[in-house]
Amino acid sequence: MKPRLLLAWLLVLVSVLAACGRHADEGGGGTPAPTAKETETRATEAKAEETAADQAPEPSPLDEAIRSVLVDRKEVSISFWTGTGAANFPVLEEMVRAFQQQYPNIKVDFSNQGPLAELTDKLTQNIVAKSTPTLSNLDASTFPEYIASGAIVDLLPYYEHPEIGLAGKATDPFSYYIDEVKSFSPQGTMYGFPTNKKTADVLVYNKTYFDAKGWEPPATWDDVVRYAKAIKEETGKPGFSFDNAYGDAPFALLSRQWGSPYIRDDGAIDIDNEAGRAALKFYRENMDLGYFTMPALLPSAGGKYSSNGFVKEETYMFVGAAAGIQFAIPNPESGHSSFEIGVAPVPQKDPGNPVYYSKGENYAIFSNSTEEERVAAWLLIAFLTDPGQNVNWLIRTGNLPISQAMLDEPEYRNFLDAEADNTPEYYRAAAVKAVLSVDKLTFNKAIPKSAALAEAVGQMWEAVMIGGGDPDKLLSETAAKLQ
Amino acid sequence: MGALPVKTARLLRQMLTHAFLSLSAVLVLIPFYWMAGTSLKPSAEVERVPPTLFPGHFRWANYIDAIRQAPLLTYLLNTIIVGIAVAAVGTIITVLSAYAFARMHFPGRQTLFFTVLAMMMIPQEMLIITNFRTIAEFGWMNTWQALIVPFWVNPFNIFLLRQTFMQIPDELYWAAKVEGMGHFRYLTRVMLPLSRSTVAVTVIFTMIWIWQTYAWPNLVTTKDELRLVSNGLQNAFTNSVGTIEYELQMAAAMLVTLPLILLFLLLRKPILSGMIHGGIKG
Amino acid sequence: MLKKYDLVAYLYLLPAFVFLGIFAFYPLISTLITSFKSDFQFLTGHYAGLDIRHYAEIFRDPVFLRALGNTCFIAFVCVPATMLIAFVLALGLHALRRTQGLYLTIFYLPQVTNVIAAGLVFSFIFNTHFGLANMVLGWFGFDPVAWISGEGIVGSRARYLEAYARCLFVLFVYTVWDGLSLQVLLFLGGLKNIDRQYLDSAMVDGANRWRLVRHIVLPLLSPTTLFIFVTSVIFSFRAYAHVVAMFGPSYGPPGDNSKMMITLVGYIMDALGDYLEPGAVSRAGAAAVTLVLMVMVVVLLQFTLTKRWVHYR
Repeated sequence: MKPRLLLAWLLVLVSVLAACGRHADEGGGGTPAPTAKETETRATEAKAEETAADQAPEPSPLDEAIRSVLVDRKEVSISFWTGTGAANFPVLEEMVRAFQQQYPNIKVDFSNQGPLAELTDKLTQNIVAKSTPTLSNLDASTFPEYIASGAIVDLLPYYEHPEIGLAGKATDPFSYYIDEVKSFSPQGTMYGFPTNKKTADVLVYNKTYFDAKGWEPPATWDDVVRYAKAIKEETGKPGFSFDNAYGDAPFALLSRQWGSPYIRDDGAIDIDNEAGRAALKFYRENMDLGYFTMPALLPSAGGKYSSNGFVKEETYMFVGAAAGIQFAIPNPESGHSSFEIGVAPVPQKDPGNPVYYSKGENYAIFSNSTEEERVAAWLLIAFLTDPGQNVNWLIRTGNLPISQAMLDEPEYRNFLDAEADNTPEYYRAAAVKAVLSVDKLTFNKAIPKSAALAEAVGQMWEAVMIGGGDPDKLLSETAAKLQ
Repeated sequence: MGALPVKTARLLRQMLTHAFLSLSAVLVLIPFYWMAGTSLKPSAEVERVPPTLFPGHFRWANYIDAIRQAPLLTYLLNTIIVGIAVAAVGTIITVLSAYAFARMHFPGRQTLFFTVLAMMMIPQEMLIITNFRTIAEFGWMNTWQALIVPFWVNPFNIFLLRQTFMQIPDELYWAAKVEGMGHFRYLTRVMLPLSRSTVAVTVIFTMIWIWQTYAWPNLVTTKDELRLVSNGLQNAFTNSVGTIEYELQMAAAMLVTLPLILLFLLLRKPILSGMIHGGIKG
Repeated sequence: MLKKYDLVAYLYLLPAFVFLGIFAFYPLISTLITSFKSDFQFLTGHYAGLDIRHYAEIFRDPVFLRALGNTCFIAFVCVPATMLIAFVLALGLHALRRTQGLYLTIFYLPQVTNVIAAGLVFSFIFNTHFGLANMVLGWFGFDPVAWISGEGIVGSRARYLEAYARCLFVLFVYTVWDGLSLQVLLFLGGLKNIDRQYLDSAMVDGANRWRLVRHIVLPLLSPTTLFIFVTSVIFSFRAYAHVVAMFGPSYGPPGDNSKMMITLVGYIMDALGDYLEPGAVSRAGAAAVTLVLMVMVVVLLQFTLTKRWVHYR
């Protein structure tokens, strides 16, 4: 019995070691060995450089790769990760399939990685394990770290390339989106590109109630207070609520509108200042008076979204994501009374100096790829930014059009100008229109501490508004924590 | 109770026992009942606040929608495959290790056992990052091995089985030794049959573990073809804004729970009978 | 009477230790070493030097100390309570003959109930406005209690402690519910292993039920009891997922900025989550090492007590 047993375990051990050994050769640590493709490309490049040496300017590796993919129809395989809801994923899949039909030599392995936070975690893990996808969505706050560690690629050459670029062309996105992705890195570089998942906050209000009072949607915070006061006196309920699923949304918006720099151009965090304190106190005072509230305090909401409480008329106005408008539509089947809702841009402190925040992810191409793979990925980005391709997506999801060309698509125009009815589609259009009525959208400069800042500010806001903490004290503490 | 006639006393005792057990059973069942109820409610009713105790009308289509929205059947199949692969090899490893710790004497026995125990104390979440790098270096990303091999050693199961083995009296071993039985034969012919119920329990525990584990499979699989049910449940029913379609998620949870319940029902006899016959009659 | 060692035991243990080596020891050592690296950068692997500053850091962090407190609450308050209830339930089940299977199947169900579902249900049950708990309280004439609520807790210490106590209660109920099914199964198994002979002979001697339990059943059950206690304590030191399911990723009711209900593993996970920040991963490592040491101490204590109290045949 013993020898047999011994033999059995030796076999197991040997096979395990063999498996390890084999795979260690392939994926061992350190910098990845040049892939066959890369060596081939370099060889081609070297040869091209040689032969073109006595001719006109030598074609760059980028041009070579473009020629290889577009003209020579070389087979390229790329992977693309996104983090989107399950309901919308099939629409993106359609678009990716259409892309592969247009470019039969490019294969795309497309997968959904769950909520954005999960996607980000996976990406970071895979950077370390050197198994990143070619292309992925990315949240603004992760760009600084990735750029610093060389994990992603500068997209400016692709964006400005005469043949495949989008700069200056009809499909070029709105300038504020391009400014945002350019702001992640020093001048002359651009490490991200806007996705078609951009959205913004809007003000949702109970139109039936407002019409009965003859009220126009509030344009300033003073209007909001006025209305909320009247609502409180008549119904006893708080008139206004502010979604804080992105915890820093209320404070970031209000303090910026009050004049706080929030994040200075040099990248320093500047939140503990007079404007910040004033903004906090403004909201807090109105909460103490019962005019304003937070979603967590609404009986039916109890989370970070006001919509559940709004549809039960526990509040009459709230600021929330445009893409979530369908959840603010009252549904008689759920026991809500039927009323019309209205959508307007977010109120301002100073209409002369409006601040509206843009939200949404950007694309990034990872360094762990060959030049041809990067070209293919860029072609995919361009395709996904194509107006015609995006009509269905924008109508389905209520995301914002990111270029004038998208806006001008006839079918999309029809969607925006549709007649008023009580469908989610109409309200999505209304929300988009509300955002588009604004001249430009703002963003915060992305710094390495962006994620920590958002979290700390979110907690501080809740601690002040719900926890009853002292605004000045908590603001200073939060600012100190972030140093 | 001393004053009552024996029969009445016993009847009262039985009734009290039943009452107590029933009450506890009901309390224990509440979350499960809610899971089942929500899985059958139409989406509008789920959003009702206060929530209804019993679905207004049954929407069986939720189950079909759940399957359509996420490749649940693929996930389920994957989980079953992984579960079997882990349980099969894992049980062998557990049995061998538990036997060594329970019955054999060798230098370092206490220390080695403590080491195994210590591994149970470590939260998986802590090891995940290093293991991820290890797996990546093996080139095992998005493979079956990555999902199966790390789960082969389960310290809890080893501990439990050792416990059971230690309760089998030494006399049996001496008797077997006299008859010329070596360790391996003794293990397979005598100890295993006597410990049937515990082994069955360890198999169930392993399966439950594979069913519920989320962090690791989520990290090592990035393609739908390999994902497990836990991933499907967590992610597949969140919409773009971040709110969750509860009725679909609960329908999926119910679907996914059924195989485990079936497994328990299948193994119930060995577990119960093994327990009954567990004691050695003098 | 054993003169020879069974060296073949090493062969029996080989597979377990090979895999433990790769997937448990190696990461553990790696984490241990990382906990001493100061200013460790995750993405690049650079670090400044080796020292114990992160250990000092965490013990000065009030959040870490609260995590310790909460985890000990789960381990040393919730677990014994669960064991008591589970033991009584197992006794009851053991006394039955026919319906045992049915009850056992029902008690087994929490084990297969999805963690997310369970967490959601408990937040519903303890919902201030529509929860089952407040409904029941209403039947007995009590005012509804704001179970998981953070109103005013930052402003007032008294309010904070009240809210904390209420949340601890909710956690207690959940932990008991969660642990019952496993423990009932194990206790029942232990009870069944007790030879009926002992019980029968004691009954003949005229002992009444409670005496029976105290002097016969409990001692004979002690190996099982010890096993259940040790494993439950170890598992409760690892509590994390259900705390997040009930109280959210901020480990507390809205309005709380102190991570009220955080546990040790929660602290580790949060530190790991900040991996882009230099030194965060090392802090996580330090907390993890502390956790392991604590558990080892507890287990060692159990085992020395074993020698005195537990009877193996």
